[in-house]
Amino acid sequence: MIRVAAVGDVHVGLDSTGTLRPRLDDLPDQADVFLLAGDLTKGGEVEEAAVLVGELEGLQVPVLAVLGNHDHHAGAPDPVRAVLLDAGVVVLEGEAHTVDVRGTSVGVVGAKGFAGGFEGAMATEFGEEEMKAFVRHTQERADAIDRELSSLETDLRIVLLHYSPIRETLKGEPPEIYPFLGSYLLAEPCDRAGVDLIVHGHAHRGEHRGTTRGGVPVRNVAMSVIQRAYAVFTFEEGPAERWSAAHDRGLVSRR
Amino acid sequence: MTERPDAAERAEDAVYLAAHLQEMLASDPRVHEPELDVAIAGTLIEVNGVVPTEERRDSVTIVLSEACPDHEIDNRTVVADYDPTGGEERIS
Repeated sequence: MIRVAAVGDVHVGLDSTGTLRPRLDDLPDQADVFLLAGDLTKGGEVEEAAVLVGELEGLQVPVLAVLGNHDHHAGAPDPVRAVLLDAGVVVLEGEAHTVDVRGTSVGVVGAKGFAGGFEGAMATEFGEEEMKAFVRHTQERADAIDRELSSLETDLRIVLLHYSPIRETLKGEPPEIYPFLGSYLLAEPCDRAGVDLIVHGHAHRGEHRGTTRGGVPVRNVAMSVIQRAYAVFTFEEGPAERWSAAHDRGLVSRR
Repeated sequence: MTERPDAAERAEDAVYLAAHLQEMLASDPRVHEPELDVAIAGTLIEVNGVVPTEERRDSVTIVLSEACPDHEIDNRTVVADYDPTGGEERIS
């Protein structure tokens, strides 16, 4: 059994020392991998990232993360990322990373993602340069997810985002702000690849569970949504059996 | 300039002020919480939502008091106190 823990939107600030770590003490007994779905810091300051590193220190599981909008606020996402990388946190931005868990390969494609809205009510790359750049920012992240998934040959494939790929996990947020909370462009490559799970954060008042149009489970793991220090997702079936069953149902073609 | 009844003007101004204060709570480095709800009734400012620490909760009051010294602040935000254990879900 593979166990994946995930949480988003921990918003660590200089005032957070000692607040997160006690909640993570049992994590190594409950999970093989720990995913952080963005908004790791309060305002994207390097010093805040250092506090997070202190909270994660000595955690005996691989930690993979994406940055969120809060982590960009100070205009220093690269230094924030560097602090985390130096501490052994794998920070993904349009990249893939594979973890071996007792002989099963778990591939995680991570990207912040971005906004724009969902099919039928979305921004388009049209008009002012600012609007085109807005949509292009999302499209570039979706393209990176697509590119990484197309070459990721692991037993499990998980996509880690900050922004939401579907409307469903946003319910509870004001509908007027859905276009600022995610984009359908992020779901499309995941459906095309038939990934096993998508986790995201960002929507603090959203819902935990959803599904893409292609049937991929989506979980909003914003801390305020799961009301826990982290959620744990398990994959019971062996990878060979899972792939075989999925192939028999015509859902995937193994690359 | 369009003439408006005083009460309507005050109500409209309160809505704009609440929006500006919400923006302030997002951008002020002492808080950086964009998802707090701000409502204004007369000289009372009520703010609701969840914050990660006591210090950040206190900062909400400080920021609003500095911005609106003539208003009373009713800080109803709560500090997150979540279950330390992970809820488990079988995906496959």
